[in-house]
Amino acid sequence: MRLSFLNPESRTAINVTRLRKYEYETNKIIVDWVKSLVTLVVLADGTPDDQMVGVLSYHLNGNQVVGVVKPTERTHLSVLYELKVYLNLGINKVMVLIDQEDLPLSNLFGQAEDIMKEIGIKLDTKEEKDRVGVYQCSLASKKFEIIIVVNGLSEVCTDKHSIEDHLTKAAGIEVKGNSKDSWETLKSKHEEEVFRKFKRKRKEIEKLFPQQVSGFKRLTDEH
Amino acid sequence: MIKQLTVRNFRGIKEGTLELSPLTVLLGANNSGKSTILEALFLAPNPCREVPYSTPFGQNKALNTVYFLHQTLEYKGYAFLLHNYTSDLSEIECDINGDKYSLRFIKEQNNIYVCTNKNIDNVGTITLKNLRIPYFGRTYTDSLHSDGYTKLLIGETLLVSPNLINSCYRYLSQNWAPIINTGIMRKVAKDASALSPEIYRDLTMEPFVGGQLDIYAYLEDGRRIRLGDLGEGIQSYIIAKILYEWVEPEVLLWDDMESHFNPRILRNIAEWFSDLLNHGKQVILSTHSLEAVKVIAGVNEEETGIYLTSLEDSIFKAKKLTLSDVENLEKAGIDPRTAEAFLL
Repeated sequence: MRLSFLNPESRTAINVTRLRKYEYETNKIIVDWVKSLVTLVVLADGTPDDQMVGVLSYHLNGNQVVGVVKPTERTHLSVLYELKVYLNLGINKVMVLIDQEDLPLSNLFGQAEDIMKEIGIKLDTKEEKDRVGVYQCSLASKKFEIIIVVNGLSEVCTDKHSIEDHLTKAAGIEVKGNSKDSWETLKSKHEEEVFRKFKRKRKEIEKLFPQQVSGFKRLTDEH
Repeated sequence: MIKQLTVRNFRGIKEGTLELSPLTVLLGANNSGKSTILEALFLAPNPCREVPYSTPFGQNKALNTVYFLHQTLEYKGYAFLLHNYTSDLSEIECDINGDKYSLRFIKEQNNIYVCTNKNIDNVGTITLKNLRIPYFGRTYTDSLHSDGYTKLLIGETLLVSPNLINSCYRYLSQNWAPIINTGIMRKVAKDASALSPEIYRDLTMEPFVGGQLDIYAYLEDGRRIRLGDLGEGIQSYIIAKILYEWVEPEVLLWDDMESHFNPRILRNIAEWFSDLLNHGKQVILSTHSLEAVKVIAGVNEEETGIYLTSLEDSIFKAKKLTLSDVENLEKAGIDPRTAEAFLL
């Protein structure tokens, strides 16, 4: 899978490019010029989610190009308010990568559905399994698919579930309080080792990031 | 006002049409046809006319200026104006308030004849495929010489480009006396003072080290600073203003305008453009800077058309955006400058 940044100067693009320092061949995963885009990853929570998108795309096969974007003025569930902008530009499959935080999963999916309905998106069908919700939707005559992938691992004891659940697990860091703070505190010590390990061990990625891998496969029709 | 431009087989563009607003901002990737569009508009009034740029090639004609912008190594000639260097007919067509004006470059062997649909005293005629075609100018695929009718066929256009600063300095030094006597220099010096902690009283030409002439900004306290030693933003601003005041074009073309401008200069330029539009003039610029787009289009929102440009398989395409389109795309995390995949 290859990535095309909707803003090549964004922090998202820069963070993925910075994987180069851990010897990722970023020129093989980042595409600067595409003729058209129909699939898109929307980051609800910024960094380090963006870095993980880079890592996952490094390991997922195929040449399919997906767009990557982080809305500038919205975070978490409110990024869904921008969906119409992307859909109007011709995107027909969107994966939203979002932290669970302290919301029960049913609440998070429920709130996401409320926002989508609020902006006029009709939810025709829904499948939900293992933190991945897949919605077949329509907006006027346009049909499209929205995949919501919720970051977090139930086994990690944290106040708020996030992508850092996965990173702290990978680094063997004991979480105190919440995983985000624990990762931030120990990041300088573990980041290099963890990202180098991710590069070497594809199997590890599939174990540590099951819902994200499943979401990407769905996005690129590999499921 | 030029309402629409169509080019066919001109430089890198095989075909393309662009609607033009009183203030048109061309935004796009490198090699997306922006400069070619501006060069077409620069040549349109008459490629054989004198322009305020002195290139090292003897003639101060619009053609020489465009050649100078694209000069590489030793090639001297105008085949580069023709698409793929081989096209037999290259055309620049302007819709000027409903009237169609056309400029054509017709290649025949190593001659490039310059023709128009306007009725003028033609220099000669050529016969191609049994058709007698009048032409008013001639240049060559293998020589920089050109001759012919030199008067304007439509309203004057002036091209400002960071790559032409030195050619402009050469022109100013060759034409200093007539220019200085118009009072332009004092007016421009005053305008430039608003952007600098220094107060410039005038622009002068005086000897520098070794006795050679150079252009100076004359400060209120009597000191002088060489124009070339001022910041590049101020230099570009001063040059653009001098040329504008001297040429008084109907259309100001500005290529790659973000190069050296900080927000203070940008705001000032937006103000200047606003005055030009109020006087019925037209401004067409290219930039990669979203900051420049937002400041310039923001001040002149009603008169501005922002166009995202692209060049694919030599076909020029442009998508019109409003300032709020640009802002909404940015909020959604999309850089409009790189959104061709979606927008075009």
